Amino acid sequence: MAEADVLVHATRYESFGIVLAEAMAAGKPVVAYDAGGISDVIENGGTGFLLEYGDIEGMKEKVVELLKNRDLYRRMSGNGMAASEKYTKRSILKDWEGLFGRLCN
Amino acid sequence: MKCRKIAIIAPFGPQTGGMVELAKVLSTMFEEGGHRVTRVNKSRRGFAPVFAGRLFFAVLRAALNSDCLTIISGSGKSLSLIDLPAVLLGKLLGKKTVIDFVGGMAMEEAKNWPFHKKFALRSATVVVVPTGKMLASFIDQGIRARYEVIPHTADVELFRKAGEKKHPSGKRVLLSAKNFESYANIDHLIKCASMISGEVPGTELWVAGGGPEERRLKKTADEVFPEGSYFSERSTTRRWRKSWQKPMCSSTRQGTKASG
Repeated sequence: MAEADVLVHATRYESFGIVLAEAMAAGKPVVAYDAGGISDVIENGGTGFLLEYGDIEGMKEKVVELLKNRDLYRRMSGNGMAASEKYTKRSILKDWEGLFGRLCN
Repeated sequence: MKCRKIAIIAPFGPQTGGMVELAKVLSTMFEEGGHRVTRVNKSRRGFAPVFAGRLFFAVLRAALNSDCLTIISGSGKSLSLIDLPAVLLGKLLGKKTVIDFVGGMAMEEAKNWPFHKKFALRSATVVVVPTGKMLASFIDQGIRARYEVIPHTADVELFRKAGEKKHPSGKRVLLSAKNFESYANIDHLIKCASMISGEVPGTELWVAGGGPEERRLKKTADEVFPEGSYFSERSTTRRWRKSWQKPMCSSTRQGTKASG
């Protein structure tokens, strides 16, 4: 992940995609098909680009745009790193502790 | 926060993938939060009946010593063969049972599941799904359960450090990290990377993963983008799990540690 520029993801099925959160944390923009729950994790135009399923040409264009436009790349990279805060163990632990609290009390 | 005794029934390896990664990060997260975690590995090792017997007693022991059973589950066979018995055992012992569901295919296929798979979700105290989209798809498909949306957690701190370590190699690297299943469409990425290299010279595609499509994908890569496609080997991926900081070896058909 450290040496990568962009995470590309073409899956048809995805409930969440832990690797998407990992990529954002590492400051790597994501270019993916808009499938399953991916749009709940990646903000189209903010932390990456989401394409219609099967749009290989569109995916190419967006990756090229990211590789050539350093300002866009830096903006998306920063947005991703900030957005990944939602998925830290500290943050998610609170949700789980809340759930356990409601279930066990 | 009160210390909880939590049993996590999940695949903890040796295989890789989203469920294994989630199991690892979730159990570490609970421990770091001061909770007591009992890990029960539902990855099959050895002769099936012996494994099933051992697993049953491991689940029983964990249930007796825990407040809550958390079962990391996908839409595969274990949902009915392992997870449903674990949920029923938990209920019998008066424990709370949580199924943390992983697996995007269920967003389209759950409506076709047999009754016993749907019953596993319905029987759990709570089913945790990672996104609102997944929740909506389960409801649309008539999968009845008590749901809660909690996103998956990732080892964000580890990957932030990884991001800081990027060195100027001059290459433009596209990374894919997904198991080699047909629905992952890694062949789309190979074609896409080939087209990109026409406009951005030096572009490479690094493909981390493993699975049934491996041979076909390598053949596609050899035909479409032989000069810039690199695949991780499973053994290498596993070794990199322990030493992720190591730089990528650039020899042919080797890859990178990408996830977890």
